[in-house]
Amino acid sequence: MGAAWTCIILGAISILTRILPLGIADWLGRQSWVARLAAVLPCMILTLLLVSDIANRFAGLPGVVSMAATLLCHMVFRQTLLSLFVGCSCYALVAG
Amino acid sequence: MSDRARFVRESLWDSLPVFAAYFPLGITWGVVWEQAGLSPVWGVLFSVFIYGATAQLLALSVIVAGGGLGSMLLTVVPVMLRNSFYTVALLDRLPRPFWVRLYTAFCLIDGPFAVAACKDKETSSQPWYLVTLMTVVHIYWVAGSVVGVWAGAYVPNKIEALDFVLPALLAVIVLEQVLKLGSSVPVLISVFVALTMQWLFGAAWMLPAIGLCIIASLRR
Repeated sequence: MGAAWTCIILGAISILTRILPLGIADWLGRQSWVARLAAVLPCMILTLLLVSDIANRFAGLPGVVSMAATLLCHMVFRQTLLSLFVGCSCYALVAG
Repeated sequence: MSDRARFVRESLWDSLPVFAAYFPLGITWGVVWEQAGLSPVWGVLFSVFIYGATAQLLALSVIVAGGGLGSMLLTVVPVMLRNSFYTVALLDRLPRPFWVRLYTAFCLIDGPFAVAACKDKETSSQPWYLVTLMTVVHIYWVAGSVVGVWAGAYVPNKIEALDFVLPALLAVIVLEQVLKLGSSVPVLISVFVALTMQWLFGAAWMLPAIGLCIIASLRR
């Protein structure tokens, strides 16, 4: 699926998901399944993609070490940009 | 100083922490998009119309993986649904007239939602406060993306380490989610599901894995 169609379709869905609740706020608030999905599903899907990326492209030692460095840095400093910088630098050093 | 000026100034001040988070993240998004070899224009339009770091990164992952419409919708829409609750949560603060209400609802993503929700209701119900906050944060994100796709064009494609930006960013977002949820169980379930489905279905593992994750979410 190309970038243009993705942008058009997801742009429309993005607008709808944020604006529709204006009209159906009461109904949505009563649906327990919506709340359950919103609570953990994003985290689970992100994990699937992460596992996919690591398994397919970064399966070796450099990938594992760099991922550990990224997470450790983020747990200490909680600065996204710094964590990415440390992770990528680590990957360049170990893989290089 | 008029009330309008006071609310605009307060809103700009409150938006600074979001700027610190969103502008660099926007740059990262732009660089990752550019490094994936996709058109810079669409990268910026993603930021304008989809406007959500997680959803945009997920969409990019699916595009790069060559996924179809089904994979795209199953992957990204559940993430987008989260924003619906932001609209519901701040429904009584969203200003009128209607088109302003629509725009502020569209702009309710993690950062501005956190700022607006933490602010006292009297201030965050003021149209000038909320509209200014939503507009400037949207601008921060899009401006970061513009800088990123521009800078990405000047970064040599042979720098392998930049390939690592996307998984590193996904890992950071997952970590943030785990800290917010206070539990790593969803992540452990996902890892188990991903590995098992890859073993069972090979390259076509993603859809069944997402289906299992939806079932697991609903049964929680």
